Amino acid sequence: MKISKYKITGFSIVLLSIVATYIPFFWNINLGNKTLPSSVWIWIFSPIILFIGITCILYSEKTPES
Amino acid sequence: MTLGITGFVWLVLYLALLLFVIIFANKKSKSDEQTSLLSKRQEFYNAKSSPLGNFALIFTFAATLFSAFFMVGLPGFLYTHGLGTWPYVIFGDVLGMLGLFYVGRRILLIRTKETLSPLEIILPTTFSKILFVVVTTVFILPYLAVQISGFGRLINAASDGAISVFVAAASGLAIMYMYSAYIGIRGIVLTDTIQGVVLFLCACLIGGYITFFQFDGPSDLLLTVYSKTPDLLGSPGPKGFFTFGALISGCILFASIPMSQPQFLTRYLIINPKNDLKYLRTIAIGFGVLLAVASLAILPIGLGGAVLYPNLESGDALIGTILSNFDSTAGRWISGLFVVGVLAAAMSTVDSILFSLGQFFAIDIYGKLVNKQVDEFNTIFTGRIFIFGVAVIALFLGVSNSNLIVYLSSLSFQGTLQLVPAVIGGLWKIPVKSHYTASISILVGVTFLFIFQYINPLSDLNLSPAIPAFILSSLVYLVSWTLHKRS
Repeated sequence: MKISKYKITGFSIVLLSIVATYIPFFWNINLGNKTLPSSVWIWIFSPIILFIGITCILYSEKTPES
Repeated sequence: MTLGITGFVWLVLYLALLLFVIIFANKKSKSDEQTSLLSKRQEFYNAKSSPLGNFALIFTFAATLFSAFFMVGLPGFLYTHGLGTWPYVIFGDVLGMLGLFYVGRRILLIRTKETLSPLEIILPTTFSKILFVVVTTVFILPYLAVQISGFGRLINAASDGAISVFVAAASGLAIMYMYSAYIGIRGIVLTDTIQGVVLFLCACLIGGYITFFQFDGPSDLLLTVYSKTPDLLGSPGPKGFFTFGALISGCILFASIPMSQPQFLTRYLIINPKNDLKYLRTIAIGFGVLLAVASLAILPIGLGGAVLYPNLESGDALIGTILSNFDSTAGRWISGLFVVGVLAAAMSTVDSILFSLGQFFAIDIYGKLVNKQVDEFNTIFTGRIFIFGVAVIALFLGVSNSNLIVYLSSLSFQGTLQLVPAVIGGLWKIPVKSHYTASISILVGVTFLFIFQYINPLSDLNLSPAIPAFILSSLVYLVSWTLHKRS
């Protein structure tokens, strides 16, 4: 069975966003000398990244006519 | 918070628009042989032939999820628990896109022209259908009642007590009953579109107003929040709510909605499989975009509110306080629109649930148990009576404001999560011979949901009691199926 590139990319992005969302629970990161902790940006952007990943998965799916 | 002149103008405009759409939908349904309340003719909705097309379908799925909680509860939740609310709510909603697409596609593929209700193709026995309807009613009816009492109270407060809670709730329900029962799903789809647009605009306008008029943009807002109440931007939040387990629980509960809630299951049947199957992906993506953008717009309301009004008694008082302090002309217009937005949010949820429950009772209980020979005319008639019955019961439950109803409504999504194994198994034809698998799985899930409210085996992980109950109901489904397969 051949898995499409869209699907692999989609699942990788979904996995990445899920892992990223849980990082702030274990590690209060502050990359560089920024005023806001990086976890704020991770929480704001990870659902958006998840959305991109799911869109890729949906585009990899065929929608056969009934 | 009072309605004021601006709110009154918005309300009149909203009701006029709703009336126009209802008349348009009614006229169209009379001239269109393909439209009726509860039949295979629900295929009326042909995206290719309608200028609204995908736009209306996207909005009807999104609007049915936007409840009054979205406009009032979510800013309050952000105010109390901070930024973690955003991934808590939106992660599950975005994952719900997958549920919407795969469950929708499966229903469209296996349905036949004779399919009147989604339960016909999901559940194998009359008993399992009855059980599904009973469980749905127990968990969804209180949620419906709370929404109805919510908009009754809103109008009561906005009219300075001139309109009583009962009269406001009953009037709103009467409007919804008329277009749900007599125009059917077409009326609901079209009114949902208006309600969705109003809601979306409301969230964006208020969020934008706070971000750019009361702060100097998103960065300034976040920096101010961080300097004054840093706990709001970190985990586990000021009250310790956002733990690892809480986020997983929220994700599973919200993601399950398109697979278990009756208003979603009935909506899949309105998509015409011959023309619209390829649009399902667009609908799923549009659904995700709407929810994500609207939720993102709510962020500054809750977080900004925490900085502007830090000493409120509870988060529920936030939105009223913010709107009362909008003293500019633009602010007053936005404030008036908000009242209409909450009304639209409650209406779009209530009408869909009313219709779905009425449909389940008429087709899956009355048509299968009481009168198996019922024809289409009588099914529609029965459906209208059931929708009326559900509306009246929900009205009295909502106005009674009993603790039991409030408690059951808080368990709403947890209860319907226990139906997911039966829905997925039924749609992918897992119970080939095991007719009781679905019923046993639902019974185990719901029973243990109540038991785990008191003794949650996964409380150390901060997981909701619904999660272990859901794991058990899924295991029971798989074990029961395996045993039947072997025998």
